[in-house]
Amino acid sequence: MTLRFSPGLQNAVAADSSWRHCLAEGSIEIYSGSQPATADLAVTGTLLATITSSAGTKTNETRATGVVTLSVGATGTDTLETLKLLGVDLLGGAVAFDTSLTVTAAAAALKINRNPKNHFVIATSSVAVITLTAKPGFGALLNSAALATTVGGNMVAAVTSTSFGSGTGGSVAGISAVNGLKLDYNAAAGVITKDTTQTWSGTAVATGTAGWFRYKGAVVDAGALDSSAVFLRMDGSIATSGADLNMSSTVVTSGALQTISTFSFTVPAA
Amino acid sequence: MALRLSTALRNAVLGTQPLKLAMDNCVLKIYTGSQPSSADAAPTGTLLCTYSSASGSLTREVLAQGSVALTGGASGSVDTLTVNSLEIMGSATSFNTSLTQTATDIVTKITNNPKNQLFVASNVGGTSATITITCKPGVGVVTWTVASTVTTITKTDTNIGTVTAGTAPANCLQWGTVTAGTLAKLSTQTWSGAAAATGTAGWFRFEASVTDAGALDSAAVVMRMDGSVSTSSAELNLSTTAITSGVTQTVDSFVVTLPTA
Repeated sequence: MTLRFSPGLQNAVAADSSWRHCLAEGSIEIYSGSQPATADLAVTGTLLATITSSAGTKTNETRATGVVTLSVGATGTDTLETLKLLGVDLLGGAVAFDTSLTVTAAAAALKINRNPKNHFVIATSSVAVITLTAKPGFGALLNSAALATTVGGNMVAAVTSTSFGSGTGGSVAGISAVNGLKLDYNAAAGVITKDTTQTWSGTAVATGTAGWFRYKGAVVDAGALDSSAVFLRMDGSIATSGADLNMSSTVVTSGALQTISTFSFTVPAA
Repeated sequence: MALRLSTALRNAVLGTQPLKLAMDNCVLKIYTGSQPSSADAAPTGTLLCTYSSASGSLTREVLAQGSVALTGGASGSVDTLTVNSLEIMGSATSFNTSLTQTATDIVTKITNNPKNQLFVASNVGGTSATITITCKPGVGVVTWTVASTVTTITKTDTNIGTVTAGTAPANCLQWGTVTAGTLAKLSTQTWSGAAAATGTAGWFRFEASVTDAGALDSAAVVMRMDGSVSTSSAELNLSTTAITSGVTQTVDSFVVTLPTA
């Protein structure tokens, strides 16, 4: 009987994006039975309805990526000096070759993730390849954005994907979500609420008694156990009063349109 | 005896940025006495020590700003609004009643646009026809082009860095990698400062990167995080709470844990 956040959401709110950005363009799934003990667990019960914008078919967001591959560098004087997306240096300081290109790429990814100027991407590395993944919410906005590197010494840092989100060179082109749920940022008293201009609704796909909901982020989430803290999820209870989501009736009939009129979420002051 | 977030910080974490980016380049101050009941309140007690990176001299961040001023017209629309080539409004905004109301509508759109992750928009609390676009903390010195397109309405675009020039912070405190919902001090940074007074440490305040005058924040504009200080079981544990003026104080570890429920 409480809101529960997945480890992926917990981490994202700490490091990557606001609550609103993490949950924007998401969807709410309503299930029978009791909510799982934690939000990283697989869903339980019967899926009764999926709530989207005006019951529309949801297109999930695909997060754009850009790819940079290091090569040649072999000594401490070989450096990755800058890695710029739209002219913003994501690196925030040069990274010198250290031990191997694999270690150097990992150091660059860590530096990008710790850089206070980086509001765009989350960096990962594999061997000598640095992959930059757009934070949730950008959708297709950063597709074809200029991605460029500068180097020192003998280091080579090739933008394998030509640009960010090009869909080439191992990168992924971003796709903006469609018919996802939006949240309003209402500064009063630390509350975010359902976007009042949107209708949150969905047609029931089964008959049953609503017991709990899972609010999923914009990216596709099959609802399985999430052991890797990847998915942004918020679970809560459903009842007619006193729950995290209150419905006029918890009895859901297959084929009937379900509508959520209000939804809000508060971050405590302490 | 609890970690307390100011209203501005709560709003930021809810609506505009994660905890790390909101509080990167922060400053830590330790005071005597008990922590205020709210992080919006002015600090109480005696300021014992201000911590910076390796006791370095602090430069606080100034957030760069640009603007779009709606200067004329009684119909039509603002069709696009880009900063550094990124569209931040999301879709066209039609003239609504007045230029001021239209500016308010645009501010709301920018604020709630999931694709806008770099800027905060405002128009003097809904009373101005000029939309001020402010970079979020951490961006520092930038001179980005602000460009809008309009139908019928007339406007003046002013680039980011021209309305207000950004200043990059220096020697401020930074955070490390998030794991398991915890945000920790950047392990490669030394958080220290020479004590400015003698006394018993009772509580601390993290101030975000921008200068914080330490007054009551009734308008929810100052991002702060308060907590208790002790030798154990507090939000910030020191080897001793007895602080002597002139002696360098160091914080070796600090962790914020976000709730799972």
